[in-house]
Amino acid sequence: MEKAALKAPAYRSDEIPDAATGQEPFFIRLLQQRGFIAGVQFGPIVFWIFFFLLIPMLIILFYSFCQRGPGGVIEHSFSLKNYTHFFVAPIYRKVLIKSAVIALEVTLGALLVAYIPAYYLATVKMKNRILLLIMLIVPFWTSLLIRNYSWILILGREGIINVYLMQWGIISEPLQLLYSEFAVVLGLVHWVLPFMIFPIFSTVDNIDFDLVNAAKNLGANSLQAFWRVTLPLSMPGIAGGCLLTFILTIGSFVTPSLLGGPEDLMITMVIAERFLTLFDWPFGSAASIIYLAIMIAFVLVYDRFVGLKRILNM
Amino acid sequence: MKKIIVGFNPLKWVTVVVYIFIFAPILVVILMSFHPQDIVSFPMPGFSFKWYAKFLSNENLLRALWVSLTLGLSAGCLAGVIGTLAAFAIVRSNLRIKAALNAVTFAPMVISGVVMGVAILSFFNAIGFPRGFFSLVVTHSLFSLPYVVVVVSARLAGFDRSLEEAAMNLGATPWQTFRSVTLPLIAPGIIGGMLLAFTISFDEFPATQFLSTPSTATVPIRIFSMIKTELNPQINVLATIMIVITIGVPLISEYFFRKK
Amino acid sequence: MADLELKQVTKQFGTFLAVKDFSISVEKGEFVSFLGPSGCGKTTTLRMIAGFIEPSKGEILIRGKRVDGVPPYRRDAGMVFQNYALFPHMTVFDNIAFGLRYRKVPKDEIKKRVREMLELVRLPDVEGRRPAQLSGGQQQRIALARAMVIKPKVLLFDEPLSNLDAKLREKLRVELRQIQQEVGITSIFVTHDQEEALALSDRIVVMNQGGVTQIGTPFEIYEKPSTEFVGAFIGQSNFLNGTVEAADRDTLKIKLAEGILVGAKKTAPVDLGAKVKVLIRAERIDLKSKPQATHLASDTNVIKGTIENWSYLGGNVHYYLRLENGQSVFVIEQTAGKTMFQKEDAAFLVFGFHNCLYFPRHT
Repeated sequence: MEKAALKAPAYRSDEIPDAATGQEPFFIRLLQQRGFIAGVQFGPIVFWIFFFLLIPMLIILFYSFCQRGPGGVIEHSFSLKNYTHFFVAPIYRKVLIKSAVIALEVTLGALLVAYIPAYYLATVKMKNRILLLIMLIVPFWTSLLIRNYSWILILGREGIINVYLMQWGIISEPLQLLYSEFAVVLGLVHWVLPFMIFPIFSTVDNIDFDLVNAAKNLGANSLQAFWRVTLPLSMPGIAGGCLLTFILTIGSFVTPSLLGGPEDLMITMVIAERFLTLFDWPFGSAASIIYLAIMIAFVLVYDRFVGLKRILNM
Repeated sequence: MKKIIVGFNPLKWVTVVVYIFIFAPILVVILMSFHPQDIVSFPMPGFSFKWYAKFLSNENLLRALWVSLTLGLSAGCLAGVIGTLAAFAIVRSNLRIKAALNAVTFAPMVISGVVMGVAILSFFNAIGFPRGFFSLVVTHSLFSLPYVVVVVSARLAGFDRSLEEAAMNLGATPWQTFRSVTLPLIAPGIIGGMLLAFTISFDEFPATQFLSTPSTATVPIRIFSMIKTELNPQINVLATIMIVITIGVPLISEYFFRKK
Repeated sequence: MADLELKQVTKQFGTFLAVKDFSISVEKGEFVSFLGPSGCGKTTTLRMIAGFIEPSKGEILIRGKRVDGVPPYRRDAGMVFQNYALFPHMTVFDNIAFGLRYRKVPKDEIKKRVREMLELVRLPDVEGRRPAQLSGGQQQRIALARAMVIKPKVLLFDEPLSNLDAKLREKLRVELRQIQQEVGITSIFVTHDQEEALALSDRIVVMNQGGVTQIGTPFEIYEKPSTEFVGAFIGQSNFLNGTVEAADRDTLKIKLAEGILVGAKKTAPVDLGAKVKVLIRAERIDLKSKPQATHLASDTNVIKGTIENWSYLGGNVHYYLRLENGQSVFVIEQTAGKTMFQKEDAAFLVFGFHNCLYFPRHT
């Protein structure tokens, strides 16, 4: 051993101090305990979700069985009145139907608008594909309020569309485009577009196009190949996009409030009105619970028939 | 398989039209902010910075801008810390609850802001806590959490654990390893997630309307009431500023996120 | 006192026994390789020495001090990782200085040490660069410098050359051995590449399915494999089934199929009639067109065969022969100064008794 040390004068292990020996102070050891680390990691999020998501939901569930007292006081008298009222009064049935119809129209509209660009971007080899994809997120980054405001400028009585149509003599009276279901659907489609394009893009992008070529090789024309091969294979993306779109639109508030007419009342607007102007929190809470129930039921039914796993694994 | 596309390709033109549809509203607003007249009219009769000057002397809007900025920063930082810890929990631990946690974290993304807002309002009301800045910070951080978790998890999932082993092998304690190796390497993800959180907060209206007070009115609150009452061209200026901020911030975050 | 000692180290993951009863004592300055197929437990053992995994049973001692249960950052066992694990956000200088900083070495000293190390690994001009700006071979050397600068008590290598292309691998192998000998640092080297292990090591530990099969110098491992597995895993060999026909004090006669007899040097006691497997290294067989008188000496086997096929590889030729009993034999011959055999040529396989190894056979 002595000899080995002599042979290698460049290396004497006593020149560099050893890694610290002994134990760390108590609190450092505490910090490095597995349980402590897990606690630090899980603690805050569990706290946050418990106090600011679960408990609040339970409170409105509780409120929904209470009654509005004089001056907006919440009377803790347990009854199902709010729920029965919601389902008996025709106006709320209309609201529910309207919400569902608008959500459906937006889902279909967004699918129609989104599919071709998504397909095009996924199939055509382009240098700037990434840039074009990033550009799609730009509206997502832009304030929804601002975008709705812009639709007002575009669709209004003196808006861009009416002004130019009249100038070119196509119409003589301004069209009532704004404050209509059309305006709401248009605004919402614009909002949800990225949520529809990206899932479809990623499934089409993952399709092995040799399958399509094989179909053509077996005698299918382009349209048949698309119909029998590409479209079925892009179904998970379509299903995922539609689910997200539907859920987002049925809970939307800003767009129907700003672009809709008096008829275009959605369930979120009923909730907001009850809380903000009528001070009827129990009824507003009941409406919120009904909204949540519909959403959960929708997701469960969807899961049953389409399968959430397929979408989530996408 | 080279295809020669001759002349008219319908798919391409549909795509172009969709892109125009996507960008039209944004461009119209920016254009209108330079409109010289009180009543918005077309075609634009000229070009002016008049509304910018008016906006800069509108104290209400400036205060709202200040509220929104401080709120966005607070919520962003809070979501950044909680979301990063949660991402560690989700990616690295093998506890059973992590799958459930992962799912629940995403609930605020899909539940209507209105319902989230009334629920949190009811909660603060029940415990006798006043609405205002703090309740807004809490709510906005909750909304931004999923985004932070996604971005930081992605960064963590691609993290080479042998780097941490190397650091410890060289004598760094777990805490020193975290500080000198892990944190610097996932920092771009955390900053990116926080900036995204800022953007979410900066644009939040549905829940904010229930929790803000006159002194904590945010930009979206002001814009909403302005749109509802009168079409004041100052909205165009505010909108342009917001577009610049909300597009600029994610671009910066993208820069950080991409940077290795 | 040995620099590194493992005493019956065992690691169990659930029901899977990854390493069992691993014992070895590594002397100061020794270079020991752990060699085996993937999944044999060699990397797990290395990670137990580094402290990333705790053994289920047994003791690990570094310079006589027990380290099992000691966290990795207190073990002074430098490691070179398979993917180098250089910190991408630090310069080469900061990477090498990393360990010194946590040992509170003064700044000037750090500078001096890092420079010395960069000289040692023959990369004096890269200290300001980032790892991503270096080639694979350069990154490898920086990883080595980073592990050595802290003067670890043992240096651990986890297949450090496997991500390099063949030519560079060989060049770095020579350099690595040179540096290791220059510095005289005790090293453990994990590899699945037999050539690497043979070229680098003072001793080789051959592992299989979690267990140690043989520990020995490269010469011992190659010339005297203790089991059939070692013989098969290292080098290119022929295995022929046979039974022991006759035995005297130092030779055996082993009968192959159809009555062909081969002689072998007796290396272990064996019963008459015992079933054995005969191992003959492919390059230890000479091919002759006709046997010469000297070959008929008492300690040389001469067996007739027919060339079935061959492939020419420049420096040598691989011949595939069939013996008269139908068994196939593979032979590697140098090409220099020899006429090549053609297909269907008759050839005599000539090999000494000492090149004919045998192992007990159970089937």
